[in-house]
Amino acid sequence: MGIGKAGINLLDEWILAEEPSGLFYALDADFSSVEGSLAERRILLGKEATKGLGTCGDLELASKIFEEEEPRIEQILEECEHLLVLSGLGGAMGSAGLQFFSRKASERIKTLSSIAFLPFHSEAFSRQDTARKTVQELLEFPHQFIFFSNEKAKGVFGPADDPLRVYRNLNKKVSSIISCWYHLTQAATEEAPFDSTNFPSLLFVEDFYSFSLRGVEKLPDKIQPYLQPAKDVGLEQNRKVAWVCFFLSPTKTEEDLRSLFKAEESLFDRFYLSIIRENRENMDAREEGFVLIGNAAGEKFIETEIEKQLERTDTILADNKSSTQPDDGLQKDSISTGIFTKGYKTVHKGVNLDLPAFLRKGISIKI
Amino acid sequence: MFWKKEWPILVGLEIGTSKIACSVAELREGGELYLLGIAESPSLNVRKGEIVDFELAQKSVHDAIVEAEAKTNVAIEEVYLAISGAHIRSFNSKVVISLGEDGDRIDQKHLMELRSLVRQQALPTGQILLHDLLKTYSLDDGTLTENPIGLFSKKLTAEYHLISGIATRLQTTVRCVKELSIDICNYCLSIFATAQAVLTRSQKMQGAIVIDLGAGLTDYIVYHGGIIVHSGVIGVGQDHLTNDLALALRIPFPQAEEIKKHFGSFKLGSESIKKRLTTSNHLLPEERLVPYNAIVKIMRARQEEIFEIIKEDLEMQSFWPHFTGTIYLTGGGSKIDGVEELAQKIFGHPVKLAEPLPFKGDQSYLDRPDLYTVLGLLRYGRIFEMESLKEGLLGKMRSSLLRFLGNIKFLN
Repeated sequence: MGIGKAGINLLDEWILAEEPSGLFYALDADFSSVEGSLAERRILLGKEATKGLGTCGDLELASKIFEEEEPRIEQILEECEHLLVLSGLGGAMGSAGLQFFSRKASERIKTLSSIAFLPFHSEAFSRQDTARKTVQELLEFPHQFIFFSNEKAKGVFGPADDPLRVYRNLNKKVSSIISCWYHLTQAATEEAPFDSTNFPSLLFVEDFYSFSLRGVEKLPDKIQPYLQPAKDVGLEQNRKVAWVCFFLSPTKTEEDLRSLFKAEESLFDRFYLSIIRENRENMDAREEGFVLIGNAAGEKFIETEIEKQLERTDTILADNKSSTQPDDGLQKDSISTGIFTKGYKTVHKGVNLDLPAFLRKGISIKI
Repeated sequence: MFWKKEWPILVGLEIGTSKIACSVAELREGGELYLLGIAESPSLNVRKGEIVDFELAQKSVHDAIVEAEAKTNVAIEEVYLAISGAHIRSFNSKVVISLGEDGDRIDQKHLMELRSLVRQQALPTGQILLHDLLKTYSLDDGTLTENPIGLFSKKLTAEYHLISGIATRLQTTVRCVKELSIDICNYCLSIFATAQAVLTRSQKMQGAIVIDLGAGLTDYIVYHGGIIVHSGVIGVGQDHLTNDLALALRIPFPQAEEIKKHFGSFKLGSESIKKRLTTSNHLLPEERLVPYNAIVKIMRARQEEIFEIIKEDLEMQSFWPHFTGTIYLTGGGSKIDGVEELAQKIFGHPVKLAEPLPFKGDQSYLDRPDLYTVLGLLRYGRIFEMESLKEGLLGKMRSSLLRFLGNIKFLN
């Protein structure tokens, strides 16, 4: 289930890559976001309240919408055993949706897992704050959460000065995690259930490395650094988490891989190893894996993120003391450029002309 | 099945933001162009006149070529290619040569020397010269002349209008065509081609500005006293108007485009007028009542800004205080109601909608200002074809038309 724009983007990325069978849901209050999704079930929430125009980042409104739409959502969950929620945590619908499902899930379904994104540092401070509050609330629930920081992905998944490419590449990579969840839940049995022993219960991702096993008889040497003790990856000594996941063809030996990781297992407080055998009709067997290294100390993680953001904001305010822009609290960088998000920007005398003209000129439009 | 045509075939190809257009014409006796047909295909992943997804764009080009071949029964092997992009820059440049203390009789080699000097101009890193268009020659006594051959002078100055672009971005467009095994006879700046399609010699002499309101870009060219004195490209086009509507009304881009087509106008009306927005495919959750003036204000804000940027640029040029000509609007954006009045208000000069110079043959181009560029490529190509027919392989180029237009630098 993809909730909100970021969640739906991620879901679509996965559907494109995996071509899965099954029902997948796109939920949002913004008609254009829902309508464009590849998901079979597209649900526009809060039609009365927002007329399909979205919540404009209003977390309270988004929460109210989920409460009001509870009967519809209950119908979705009726035959659901395992739910994976994909969302971004800077806006309203993703945050409110994840909070809602976290509260309701334990009543209705076997497992709730979630992959959620924390906003870039360059995004509005209100979005950082929404993300922080959402994470703090989610940590109260006993579900499976994997958090990615868009900011930490810079320089890893794309150039630091190209957040859009970082975001897109991260989406593509994260879709392999979704595949892992999908196959693990498909393969779950009474004897070998899908639960927190084979999927991380809490992981704030610090490092993410994916690799191919095709034609390789042993694990690539270059993933070894990713399995080093905490000091190398800057984590707290006693809260480090690693998750190694492989997709294997029937020709690879599972036992060899398990024994290879014996030594590394002891370096971590929690170590997950998932090995997935797929039957993919008409598709080549996928021989790839990924390693996630992270931190389960959520509070520390978020505090550090917000501290950095506060420092950055103070620096910007100090530098721009003589700015002629009115301090109206508007974060103009977060205004969309619509279809011009891709391609070369048009800048004229320091002004980004791809931003709507009526907004830049302060022309009031009553709709 | 293609058969060999009696007359030389000219093909123009424009890779635009909204469509790929391909025009095919025969060059008949006396230089008459007979239009065989124009083919179009939707442009995929071309933004602001530049290719952002190579494979998809190439597929669109391929589709347009195939359709053109099917329509006209011509096997297309080479094209005249329109070039554009927000990275295109134009500037004027003067070069001087000395003809000795006692002066000398000016001949062709002096003109070639001046051309060679202007082509050696240092350009910003990564830029290449697209066009060097001669404006005028002047002698040591200040006399201006179009043809100084045979005259005496101590020094000879030539002023050129130069157009350059970023090599890598131009190469993407070139490669897109060449990888389809289609040769490029010559390249032409899009607005240059458009001007050939809509301006008569008389209009050029009187002074004319052609503004092409395209989907991805707005480009313009200025004729003053019959010569090109200025040109420019802005990376803002009619898609920006649509995008502004989409963001304001919180609707998908295709719906905003439909609204722009059905309700779009630059004329402010009564505040009480409301229009009911519907779409033919009923993708909106419900019909919505939107004040008509809201749509007009959103579109006007953008179009005014585009015109103001152009005007700002024109006001910095030396010719502007003396310009008394007419502004001609073309491109898809020229079909929006009220655009002439808006342009007139901003520029303070007479504004008209451009009319294409007539073609014999296929008349589907009529009332299609978005096709004038690809038509202009045919007129541009005609000049080169006629010269090569007249002079043969070993002849030198000595046409007044070529001096008028200038020679073109080939891209590799």
